[in-house]
Amino acid sequence: MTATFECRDLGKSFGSTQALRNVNISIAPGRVVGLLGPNGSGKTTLIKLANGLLSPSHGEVLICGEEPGPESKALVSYLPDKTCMPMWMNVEQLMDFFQDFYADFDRQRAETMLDRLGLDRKKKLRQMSKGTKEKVQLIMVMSRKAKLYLLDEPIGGVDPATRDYILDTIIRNYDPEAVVLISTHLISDVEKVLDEVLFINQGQIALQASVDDIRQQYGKSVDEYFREVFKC
Amino acid sequence: MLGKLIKHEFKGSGRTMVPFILVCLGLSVLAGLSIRGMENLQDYGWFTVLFGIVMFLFAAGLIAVCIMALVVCIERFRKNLLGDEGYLMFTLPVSVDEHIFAKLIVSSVWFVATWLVCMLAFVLMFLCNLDLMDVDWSEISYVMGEVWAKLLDFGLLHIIAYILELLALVFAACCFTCMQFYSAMAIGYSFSNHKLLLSVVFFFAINVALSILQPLLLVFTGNAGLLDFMANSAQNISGPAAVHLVLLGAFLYALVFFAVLYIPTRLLLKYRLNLP
Repeated sequence: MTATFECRDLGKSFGSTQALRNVNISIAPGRVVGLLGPNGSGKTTLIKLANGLLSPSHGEVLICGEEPGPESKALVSYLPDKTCMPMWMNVEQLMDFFQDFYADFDRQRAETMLDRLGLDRKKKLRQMSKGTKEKVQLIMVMSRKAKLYLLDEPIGGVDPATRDYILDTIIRNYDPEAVVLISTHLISDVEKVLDEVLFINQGQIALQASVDDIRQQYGKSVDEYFREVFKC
Repeated sequence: MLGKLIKHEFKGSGRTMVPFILVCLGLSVLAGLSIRGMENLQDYGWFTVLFGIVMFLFAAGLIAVCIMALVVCIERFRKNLLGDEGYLMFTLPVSVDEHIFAKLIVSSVWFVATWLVCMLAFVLMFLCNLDLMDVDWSEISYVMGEVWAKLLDFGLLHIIAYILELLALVFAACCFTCMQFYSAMAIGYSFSNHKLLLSVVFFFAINVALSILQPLLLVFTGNAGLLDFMANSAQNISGPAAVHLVLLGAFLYALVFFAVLYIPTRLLLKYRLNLP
């Protein structure tokens, strides 16, 4: 079976700084994976490479066997670590935009989630609070029936109630045949939803294991084991 | 996908351009009515001040709509592709070429629309100042008929071809103008710091380089036999055909310089994208 997300000897340098080195990952369909690492460990660089927003210095990254390009982008649903939606749009226009470009966008699903939030569809994004904008962005991303969801710090900088809402939205809406890759350093919050974890440190994959294996092998939660591995 | 990008680009830019165009046309009507008022009034008084203000606003509106077309062209590229919105745009299932061409096509349309609006504004001002009952319509229809007959004499096919060639040349010239800004921003924004400042520096650097390259290309192509070819052509081909040759030559010239700027811009956006 073709891996949904695969990196082969992947490396990325910015001048003399090596952000990623010799990364080898293979993730089969149907897994919720935590990309866990301290700040500056290379999580965002890896996700940007998978989205074609950066080009590798060496090696390759494959999405369902395809190198990043228009074909792979049709399969990936990406949530960046910042709000990237055009602020002049209202929610209705944003849904039109997603529907136009993504054949897998499920408008009905988006409308149901928006109804749960009680959002006025005619309200422009610039008139919304930061938290609401992030929720709208997440709803758009999770309303796609993608093969790979790349979620970069989805719960960073939000209050605990919003964190629960975000994680609940992710778990309720992803396609069971898809891979969900969640990058974060807030492990205790995401641990409950993960099948597998990737520990990344200084641009290298330190560990790829299932959550159950970590619990059985080390007798610790992922959060506790992470603290032990990355102890300063 | 290019069509969809163009549609959304028109939506994004139209929300700025359309109000400016409407205000501009509204001011032209107001200016025309003001001139008419000035002609009919016996005692001007306070109306002179109002007339001055309206005419000033009309002129300012025309200048503003031209400047806005350029600002929108630059800002849409900068914010939509190189700013935070770039995370959304560059993860759409479209190629870098489609992104650039969508911006070029829409900006070119706004440039042409701006020129048309400026001309229309003067026509509207003139019409508002005109008493339609006094117009000699028979004379106008006679003149129009004469012009049409002259066009037929000249050759309708030639005229249609001129229009098409001119449109192609205008489009290529607009694209070339846009690319000067786009290439400067693509280079400036590939750096980590001082992106905007570097874009301005590279804009001037590109313009200096082009002002050196353009005459060099003319000299090179002249030496390569272009001048001999043109001299021979002038003797062997008819006047209308010579105009086609000049228009096509100018189009190819614009195309070459467009390609000189397009290729590095495309490569930078594809391989050296550096979003904030």
